[in-house]
Amino acid sequence: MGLQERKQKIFYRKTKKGNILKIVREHYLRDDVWCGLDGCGACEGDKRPLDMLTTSDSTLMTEPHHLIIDTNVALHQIDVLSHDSITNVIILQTVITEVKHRSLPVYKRLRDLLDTHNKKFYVFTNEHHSDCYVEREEKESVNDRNDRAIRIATWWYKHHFRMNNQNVVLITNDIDNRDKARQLEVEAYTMHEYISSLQNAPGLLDIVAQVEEEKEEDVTYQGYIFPSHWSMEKIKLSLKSGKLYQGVFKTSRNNFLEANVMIEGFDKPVLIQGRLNINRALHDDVVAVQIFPKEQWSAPSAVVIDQEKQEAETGGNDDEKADEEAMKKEQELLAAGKGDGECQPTGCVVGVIRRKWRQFCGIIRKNEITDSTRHLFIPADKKIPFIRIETRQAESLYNKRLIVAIDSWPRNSRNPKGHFVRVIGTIGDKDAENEVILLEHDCPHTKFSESVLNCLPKLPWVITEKDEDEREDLRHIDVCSVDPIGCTDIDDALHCRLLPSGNYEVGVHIADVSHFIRPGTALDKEAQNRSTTVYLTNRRIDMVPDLLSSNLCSLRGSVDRFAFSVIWEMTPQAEVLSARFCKSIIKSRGELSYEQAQQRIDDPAMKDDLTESLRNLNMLAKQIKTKRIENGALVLASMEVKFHIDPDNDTVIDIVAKQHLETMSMVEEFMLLANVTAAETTLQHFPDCALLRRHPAPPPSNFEPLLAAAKSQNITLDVSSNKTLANSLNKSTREDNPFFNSMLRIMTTRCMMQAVYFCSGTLEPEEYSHYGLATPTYTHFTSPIRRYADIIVHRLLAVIIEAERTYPELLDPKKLSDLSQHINYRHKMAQYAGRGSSEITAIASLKGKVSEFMSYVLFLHKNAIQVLVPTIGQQLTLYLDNRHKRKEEKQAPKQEAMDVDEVPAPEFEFNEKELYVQCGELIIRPFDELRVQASVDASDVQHQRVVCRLVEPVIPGFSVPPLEKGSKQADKDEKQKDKPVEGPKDEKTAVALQVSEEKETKKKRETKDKERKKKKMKK
Amino acid sequence: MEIISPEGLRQDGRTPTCLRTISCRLGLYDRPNGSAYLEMGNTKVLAAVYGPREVRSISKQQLDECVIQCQMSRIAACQGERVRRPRDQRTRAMSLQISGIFQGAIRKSKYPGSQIDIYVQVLEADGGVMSACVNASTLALIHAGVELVDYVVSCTASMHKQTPVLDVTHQETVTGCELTISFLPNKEQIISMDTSHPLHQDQFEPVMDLAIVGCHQVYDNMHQEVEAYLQDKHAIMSHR
Repeated sequence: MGLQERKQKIFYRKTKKGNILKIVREHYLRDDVWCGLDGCGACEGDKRPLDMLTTSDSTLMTEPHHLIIDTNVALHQIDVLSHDSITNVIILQTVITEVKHRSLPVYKRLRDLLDTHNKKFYVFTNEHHSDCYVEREEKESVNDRNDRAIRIATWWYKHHFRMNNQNVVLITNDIDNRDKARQLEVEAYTMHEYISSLQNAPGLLDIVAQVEEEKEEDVTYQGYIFPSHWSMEKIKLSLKSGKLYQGVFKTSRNNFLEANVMIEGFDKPVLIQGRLNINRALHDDVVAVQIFPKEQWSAPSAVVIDQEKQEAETGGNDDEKADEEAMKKEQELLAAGKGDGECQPTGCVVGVIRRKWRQFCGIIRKNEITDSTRHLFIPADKKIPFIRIETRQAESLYNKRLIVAIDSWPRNSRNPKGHFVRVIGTIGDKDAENEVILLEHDCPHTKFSESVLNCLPKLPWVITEKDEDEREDLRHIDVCSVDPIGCTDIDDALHCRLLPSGNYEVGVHIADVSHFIRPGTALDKEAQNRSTTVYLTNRRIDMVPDLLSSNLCSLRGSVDRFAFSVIWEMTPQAEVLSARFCKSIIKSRGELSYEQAQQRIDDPAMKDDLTESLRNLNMLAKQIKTKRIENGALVLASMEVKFHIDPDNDTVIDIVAKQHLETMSMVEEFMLLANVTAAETTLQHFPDCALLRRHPAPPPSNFEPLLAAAKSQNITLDVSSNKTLANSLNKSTREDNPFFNSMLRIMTTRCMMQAVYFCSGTLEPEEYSHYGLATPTYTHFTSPIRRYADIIVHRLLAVIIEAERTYPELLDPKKLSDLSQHINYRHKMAQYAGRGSSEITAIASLKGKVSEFMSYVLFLHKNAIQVLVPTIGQQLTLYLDNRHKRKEEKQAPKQEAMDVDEVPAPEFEFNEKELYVQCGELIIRPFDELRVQASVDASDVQHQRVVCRLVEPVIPGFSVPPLEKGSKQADKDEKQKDKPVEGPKDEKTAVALQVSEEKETKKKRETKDKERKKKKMKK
Repeated sequence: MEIISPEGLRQDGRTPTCLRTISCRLGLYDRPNGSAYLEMGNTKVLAAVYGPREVRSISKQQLDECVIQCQMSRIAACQGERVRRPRDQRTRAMSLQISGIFQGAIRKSKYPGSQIDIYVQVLEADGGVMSACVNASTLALIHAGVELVDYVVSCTASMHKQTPVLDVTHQETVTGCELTISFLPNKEQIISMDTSHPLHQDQFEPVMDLAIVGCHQVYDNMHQEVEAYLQDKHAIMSHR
């Protein structure tokens, strides 16, 4: 048994230089490849997932049978294969290698199916089986050879299975292949034929993808909407000769008919405008782009175009005429919105090099024509076009969140075609909404598997003598943790004590997670895959199981815990004299909240050791912070808010801006110091394989929108370095607008690059630096419970202090580099998921009422103003388009200000160069204060949008009156502090007055507004 | 790249602990004192031994033992893109290594004042070139009738993820470290060991153990061929 025959695989490959290489590889044939059938007496082998079948569900094939699929079926019908009712499938090696070559995501899913025990999938290594091997014949294409190999293997199986009364069916969508298989007297059907013949699988037919093979071009056919894609060969040639460019396609956030393609070597991204130029490319695809001559270059459009609104106007009908009309309308819209800013290279997509099609979450739009099987699917991601699907169970799918996959996008279809995959849950349901967010952001969120949980230490967990020998005993020191209220995964604690020399000893103690998560275990792999804990507003998806994250690793009060400590000696001027790391055992004296810690520091009556050490820490932290800022560290702002949620019914009770306390920056400073110390130490010992975090300086072009906005307010910022930027940000304040500086900082944050993890061996030392923190090296060390990068840093440090041994993957720069890429991706996605979650929560809090907010202008567009509402921490879009407003008003008859209609619609003029929107005498610039009303448009049950309306400054015919007096009265009664509010004014005459008055009352109003909001929330 | 498929087979259909097919022949040419041809999979080498003969440059002569010299070269089309020069720094280094190995295997004191030259030509390279060169040289020396302490057999091994892999092809050496071991199978002694990249301490021992197992298998193959050759030769001679 073993190798039987030696063959040579010969093929030619072109090198980068263009030389042709002949490559010869050995190919051994074996006689010990087994069939995988449980109970087959003819061959030997230990892994036998295939069942001995006795019945058949299919009407086409009454004998018990197993399935064999060809490559295209595997690629396109993976959703059918994933369905529970499809079991006992033989995957040929020919198929799985081809799948791997053509689509990694499908390959991964196929491998997952193979690992699922009850799916009974089996890989048959036919290429190395001495009876199934076929050699490529002369003039036979690779595809034809593979098809033949599949047929031969099927034939072999049929004969091999005969003695056990089993049979096989070849599933192929290639009619030619099917017929050739039948000539070999092998049963072969297409997927559609086979699934239709199944008796006990209703609904499965919906999942079958409708893939149309690319047909020959029919010149006479008039129905084509899109120009055809170039052939791959032509694209490759043209890419080489420089006629085309390759890049990643990124759909604009504001306008679904516009996209940017970043191309290497170009300063600016290439602009793609219009449906035809986009030519069926999807967000994140790798595309080939042809660039237009310079005369045709244009600027990004200044309008916000929402796909949903467009589609709603064209009405759901989908005959060709409607298509044409819709296209025309879009053209007009784009033309109307033509920006007059700086021109950008413009081009069109001529071909897609790599598709990034994945599964999309979304909802089905109700079709007016009942019993139609064709439906339009609205993806949750606004950058993805609507998808046309066919389903027979549409009735049950309304009001549900579902998953859909794209199959193809033929030239004659305005929307891509896809198929239904599965239902997530009911719209509005908390779990369903959370799952949509997690799925859309590719966050692993399933329960921890059995094998992972088996890696956990057994309870009760006790500290052994051996542990005590290995670790420094710091239990006698007054250590405490300071965290937000309700935090259960406490991963840091602090202490500070005065040394006899007059210096201070400061210690930061981090949960020793790497003690529990050993490299290479299932637990380690799972944590590595998750890479980070994801925080949604009402749910936390842990990176490590609960037992570790909130118990054994969490540095809770008055219990013994393992810690990884960093201990400095500092002078009273906060100069670090020495630093050392050690593994330790600590006993926290208390889990304090930021507020409690602050109270202790502020209360002069408190004189205990813990409070004293907190005071010292605070004193040192202040000095460290001053030094850091002197070095050029940026203080940036974000508009994070905290939601107080009623755990019983999941409604938002209150939204509060995240408060800033001195103790917060105290903890932050020491965490930064610990991270910097960890970065320096690991880099010193492992110059090639330290895991660091860098924050690249943003390219000057990133600052352009910020500078333009600042200029409109007559402010100049110096962005040449982080220090100059920090200085000019500090100077830019407005007395009349206390929020101005924060706004400026929020906008600056948006200009920044993402900070990323990397492996030190892969970059030059000059590139290690962290722009935001102004440090030459930085890493993450302080939160190993919720970040995997910290675990790696802990392991490296443990090796340095000789507490642990290394293992191969830890010291491999390439593996570490791959790992950091993975962590970066997960981190980014977790951040987006968190933001998405708070957006949904914010919208939920607005539901069913009209709320008024103070807001600030962030960006201006020709037909919209994007405003920032600090109270709820969200960005809203205020459409300057009157038409929509009227439509909404009709839907909301509550609005009784009908005189609005009598006023002619105001004309808005947008000046892109100087960045302002003008309406009559009123000029709106970035950072201006606007009062807006926000409500949730509930007319569409399936998809809720926030509708935003202007209240102040008043623009006749556009703005709406402030909320009725009644509600204000109620507020007033409730709290006497509220000053009387001016009654509603005569809008027609009030414009000028309002503008001048606004400045005086601004401050008052803002505070009032906040108070009123809070009360309303409480109610 | 996937070196070992989840089904447990390598790209070419071998299990991780399986050697490629080895075939060898002794006595191809008449002019050299000894010659041999050896294939390990698609790695193919020719070796020729001249000597023991007079020392070329008298200054190098050693009165109590022989001088061993080795010269290795590659043909231009032996692997992938054409090699510019048949001999470069790499082959020179490998030549030195081979001569070093045989310093320890040849009973040098038997041939005082003389010189033994080993010429190795790589016809095709597909991983494990060094091993093939050592094995072919051993056969050529045996053919030349030079007295050896033992066979010198050589084999490579590598580590892929957590599995040790025997006798790696060129494709498999792209990722991971290649450990070449030269071994005296009857004396159970390692005569030379070399790694192409750093290998982690924990992984070293299993890889080395596997390479030694491989060496024993290589020895069986070579010994069989030598015995067959001798029987052949004996038959011809007795026939005469």
